[in-house]
Amino acid sequence: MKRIIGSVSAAVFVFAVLMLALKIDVFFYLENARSYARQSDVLYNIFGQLRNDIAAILYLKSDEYFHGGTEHPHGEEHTIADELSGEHKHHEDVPSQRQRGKEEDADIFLRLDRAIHAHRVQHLAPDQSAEIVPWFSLAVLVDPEYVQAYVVGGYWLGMRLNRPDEALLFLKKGLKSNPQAWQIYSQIGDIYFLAKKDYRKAAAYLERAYLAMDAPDVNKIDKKHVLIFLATAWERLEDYRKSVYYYEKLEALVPDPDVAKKIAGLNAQIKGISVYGQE
Amino acid sequence: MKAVFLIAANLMREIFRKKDFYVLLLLLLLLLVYLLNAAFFGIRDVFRYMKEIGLGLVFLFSLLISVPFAAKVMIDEAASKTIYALLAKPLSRFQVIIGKFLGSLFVAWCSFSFFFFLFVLASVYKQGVFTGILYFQVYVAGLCLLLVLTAMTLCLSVYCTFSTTITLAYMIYFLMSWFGGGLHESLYKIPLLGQAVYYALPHFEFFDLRHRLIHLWEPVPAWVMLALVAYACLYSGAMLLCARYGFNKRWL
Repeated sequence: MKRIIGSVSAAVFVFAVLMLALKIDVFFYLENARSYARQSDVLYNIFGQLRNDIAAILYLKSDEYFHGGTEHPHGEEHTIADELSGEHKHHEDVPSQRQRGKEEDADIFLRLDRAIHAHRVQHLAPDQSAEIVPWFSLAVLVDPEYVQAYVVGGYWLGMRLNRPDEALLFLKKGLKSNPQAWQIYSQIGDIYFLAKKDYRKAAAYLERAYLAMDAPDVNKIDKKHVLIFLATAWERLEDYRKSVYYYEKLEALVPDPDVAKKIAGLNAQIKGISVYGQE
Repeated sequence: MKAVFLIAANLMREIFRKKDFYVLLLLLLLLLVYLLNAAFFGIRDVFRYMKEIGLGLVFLFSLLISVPFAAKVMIDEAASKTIYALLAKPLSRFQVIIGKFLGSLFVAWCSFSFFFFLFVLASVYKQGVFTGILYFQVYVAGLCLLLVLTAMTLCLSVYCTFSTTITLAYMIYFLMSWFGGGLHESLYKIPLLGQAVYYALPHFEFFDLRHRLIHLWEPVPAWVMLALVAYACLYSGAMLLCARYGFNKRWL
């Protein structure tokens, strides 16, 4: 009897672990789909995916910390980084804020569970924002190819915590493991542009990002972001020809009358300079 | 009652004889020192990650001590046949179980207390603030968790072999800790049976107050702490009765 119970429990345990691993694997695969080359590598899938999953868990910790230790409401995303500073409407719609049902009032276990684990979703106060940073560092320590952790970590360090030098070091470390990651080049460019005001370096990194963005899976919004910063960087450096070149790329990507006006204005300036030069 | 305490006292000394306890204590100390000195990007005034990892290690190491210890107390007695000498004494079988349980519980609580004390020292040193009530609540919840876990493991050990007991105990603990909170959604769909299963399972997730300490949430109300203690006592009592039933049926 003991042997049967032992065998059955061991089988159930192995099955549960396998199912759990599979579930986690599928979840993170969908959350953070990586390159096709990596996913199709059999050895990588056997041994490497666990490392990715652990790194993803560590990375998701940063999101949990940002929401004060609570899970972010499902289906809602922070798509625009600048919106992060405020409190969002969907934060009020999580179970902790909902009206309790009659069933829950009557059930002591549900009430107890709620009293222990439910808490309102609230962003970290600005002076506590640094609490999320260790998780980016730990995530890339486990998986140095985790591009998203570098990018978001770099953003937080450079833009939100006012530590552009540390952000640049972190992102450049990421480039060593991910030399083709346009997201990292783009983030470095953003930091040089916005935080360091070094437009020449910003333009250099953004150009690398733009060149690396040739893959079909790169969306228009990301390309637009890079092109705007790139064109503006060259404009600030008074290299209007290059600026026009990138504004034209932007116009071709997302037609916009304001961009067309900008191009016309810059072309007029180029002509004025060249006429002045000939005189 | 004296005999029960004698059996328990005999086991209690084990904690200081066990090498794995000292190894884990030293390992925890080293990891806490490492976490204390870790500086991410020159930012030194962050402490939540340290509390999260530190508390996780405290609970994990306590499990590593308590589950195998509780699993082997009855099985070792049976394997070495000393159980017969024990049963020859004027003791009821339930008293033997209670004695073994108290000894195992002391070992579990003692190791958890040492680990937790180290963690509190490190945490207060890093954070510079001592939120006493939160630490107290997490500590009490940890003791309650070990109470249920020890009773459950002891109960399993009466029915199963050593390896099966450990496998089942860890499996139940981890599955309930991870998924216990969402179980009611699926189990309550089956009107009576589902609800009964939900109540019968050991809800280890109730004892996890770590989030409150890590993210400085407000302490839980007093009724919640009382309910946790009551639940732990009732559940472990039920487990011991179950163990008694099994013990009465076996090794006659």
